[in-house]
Amino acid sequence: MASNIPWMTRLVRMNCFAKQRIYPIAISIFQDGNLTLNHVVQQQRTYDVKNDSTDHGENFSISPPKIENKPTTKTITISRAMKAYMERAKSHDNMMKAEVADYEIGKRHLANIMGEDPDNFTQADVDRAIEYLLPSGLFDKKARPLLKNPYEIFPKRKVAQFSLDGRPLHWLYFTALPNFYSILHDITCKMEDLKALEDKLLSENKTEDLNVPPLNLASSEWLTYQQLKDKFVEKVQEKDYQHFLVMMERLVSHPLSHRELPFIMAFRNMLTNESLDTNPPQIEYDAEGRSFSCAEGTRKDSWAYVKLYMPGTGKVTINGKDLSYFTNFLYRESLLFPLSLAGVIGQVDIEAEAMYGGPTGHCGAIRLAVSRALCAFVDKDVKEKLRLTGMLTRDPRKRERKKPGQEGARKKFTWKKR
Amino acid sequence: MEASLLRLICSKISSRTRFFNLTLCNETVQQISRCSSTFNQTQSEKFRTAFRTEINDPRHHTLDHVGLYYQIPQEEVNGVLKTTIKESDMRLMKTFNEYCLMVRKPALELNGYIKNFNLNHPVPRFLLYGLKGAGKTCIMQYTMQHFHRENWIILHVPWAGRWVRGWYKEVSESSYKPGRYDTPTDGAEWLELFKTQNQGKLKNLKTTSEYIWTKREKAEIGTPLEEIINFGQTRIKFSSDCAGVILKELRKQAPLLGLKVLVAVGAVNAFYVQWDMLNALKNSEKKRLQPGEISLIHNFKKMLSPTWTHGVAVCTADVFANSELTRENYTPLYVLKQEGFEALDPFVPILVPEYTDKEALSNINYFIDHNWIQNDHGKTDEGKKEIIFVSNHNPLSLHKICSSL
Repeated sequence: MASNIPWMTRLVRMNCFAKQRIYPIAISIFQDGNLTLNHVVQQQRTYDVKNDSTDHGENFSISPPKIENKPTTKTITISRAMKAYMERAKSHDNMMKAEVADYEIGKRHLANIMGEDPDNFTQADVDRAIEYLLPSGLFDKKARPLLKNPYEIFPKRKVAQFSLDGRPLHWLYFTALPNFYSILHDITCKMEDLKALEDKLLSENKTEDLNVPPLNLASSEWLTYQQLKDKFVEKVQEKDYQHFLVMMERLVSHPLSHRELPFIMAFRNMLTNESLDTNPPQIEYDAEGRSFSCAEGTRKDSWAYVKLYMPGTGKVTINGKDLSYFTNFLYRESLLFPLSLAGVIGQVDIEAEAMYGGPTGHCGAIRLAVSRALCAFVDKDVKEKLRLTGMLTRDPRKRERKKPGQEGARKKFTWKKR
Repeated sequence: MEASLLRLICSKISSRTRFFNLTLCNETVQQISRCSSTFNQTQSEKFRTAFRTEINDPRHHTLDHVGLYYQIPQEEVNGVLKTTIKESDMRLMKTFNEYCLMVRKPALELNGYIKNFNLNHPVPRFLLYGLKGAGKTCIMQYTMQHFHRENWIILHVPWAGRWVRGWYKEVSESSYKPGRYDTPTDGAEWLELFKTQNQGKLKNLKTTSEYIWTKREKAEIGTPLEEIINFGQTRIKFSSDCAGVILKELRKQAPLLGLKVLVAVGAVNAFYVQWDMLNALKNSEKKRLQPGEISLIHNFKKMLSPTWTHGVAVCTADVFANSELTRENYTPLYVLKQEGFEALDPFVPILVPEYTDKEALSNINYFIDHNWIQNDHGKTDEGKKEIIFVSNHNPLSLHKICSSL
């Protein structure tokens, strides 16, 4: 079948002797030989020997298995490769079962230690208990102790890629990256289809079908390299990923690409709108009937709480002082920025309370809080402007820790010959 | 055609060449026609009236002139206001090629008090206090100019902090009274200042008692004060004593001759609060001098006590004459400390507030008119608001911010 397509044969020739690694997890035996092209093998899984296999090892959403037990006269011969695979899968499955059992027991122990109900002890409770019982000062969160479901910890593995008689199920099996190359093949096919359709439309003079607005993909971005690898469960090379991107971009740039929108979007991450996600502060009214909104902000180690009155007279109070709290004009200017952007200089009163850290932190924290509080009063466009200029984003930079064997975070001791 | 107006037109054309339209054409034509007709008031002049007043005599200023700039003639800058104007302000004034000061409300208030004061009463004390850069010294200058024009004699100490510090200043024990110390250079400097500030007012003043400097040198009764000043300047060893003589004679003769004396002291708290940094003045035994031990300060303190009449004392309280650790507040008691407060009490405190919106706008417009603000955004209403916000209405801050725009 593969030999019908010249470039595919080349690939097969190149990769057929490559070391093939199989990751067994749930034992599946494929009896159905009716393979169709352009489908990921896992989606065609037809039969599970053991129905107790969990979903943890699966990589794609799986359609319900269709069971077709054809009556056969042939004796079923199981290849050596399949036998070996089944053995490995069985041992792995047993290992995972033991791990899961250990996990369940551990969870119950933990619940008993904490004096809680073991039956209703959730993963969140486990995390909390471990943080309490084994407090860790380790910087890296991955290095801290944890207790989690084994299926979350052990890496995902592929199911068997070949049938009982040892024949590969996927037509691109010998490329070593069947899922990846089948997607590339899909892209090419779709591209050819679109081109043919375009020619057809042109010949029929149906220009209105061609003159549709181009796809607007600004609200999403391509899957990252790591996400793509995880999706295919294959060791895709970085250069292959770039190749994938080039082909996808080519497909997207086609004038009729909107017809393939679902296919394209399967490989894109949606970008979320931050300002819409965060809850804007509500407008409140004080005893005198003045409308105000409250917000908090942080920067470095500092924390600030701001009460923003609107309409106001441009009065600023920071920790009981006026704007002269900041002697440096730079700090005052940075506080000015969101007000200037929203066009409300002199129209709002700001009452701020800043704690911890120094003046830079205070001013950054107050600025963030002021911007957030402003969101309650200004309209959507201004809010979007504030978001785009980064006024609503917390500056994530923090003091870097000092490293042992060094003078500071990055600085090394003065080098002396001896 | 006026150069500034020409520049205005040119800049408008250059900034809008791409969007040249009919309205601009009309505008330009109108402006040019206005320029050519000398009778009409030009656009530029209209613009100038928003922040300046034609009445350049402080005696005629009223509350209507608050926030407006008026011009000071060159002679007064070199005469009565000599060395009182801050160096940076002076540089700015020279750049603008004119000497302008803003009329402020506390200044009018102070001058009103002094004008209506019955001089037969003992000397009243007025204390100007306020934040750093709020304009205390400028208000004192305004008062000095006002009463200089009314022929008052002015005794001015630009910044008393100078008299209690100095790294290599000569300090000698007073020949008049042991335990008191002279600073000859400061004395001579002050005599020079006194002479320039009171040109033409000292002609008829003569001493009323005999002063013996040394065995051979003495000033007879009836010696003109100008001679005493000259003596102090040539023999600077006696400059502090000469200053003391002048002050004493003025105190004595003011009621008799009907003189009017304005005592203006900048940073009066330096008279009462010990300066404790390393550059404080020390005697030959390396002991730090109390302010009262310095003869100039001792003499000037007498001018601030209500023991004489026909005079008025105006002082400023400057927290920067105190040591660095006590500069958090600007209120009179905090700045003068208990001793100074008691010495001046009762006095009239006059708060010098920061700019109001009107005054700040007037200041910015003045800068724009003199091309000191060249940033295009700074000339818009929004930009002006931003400048005022960042300056926090403080005159000094406003000056600093605008110098880089």
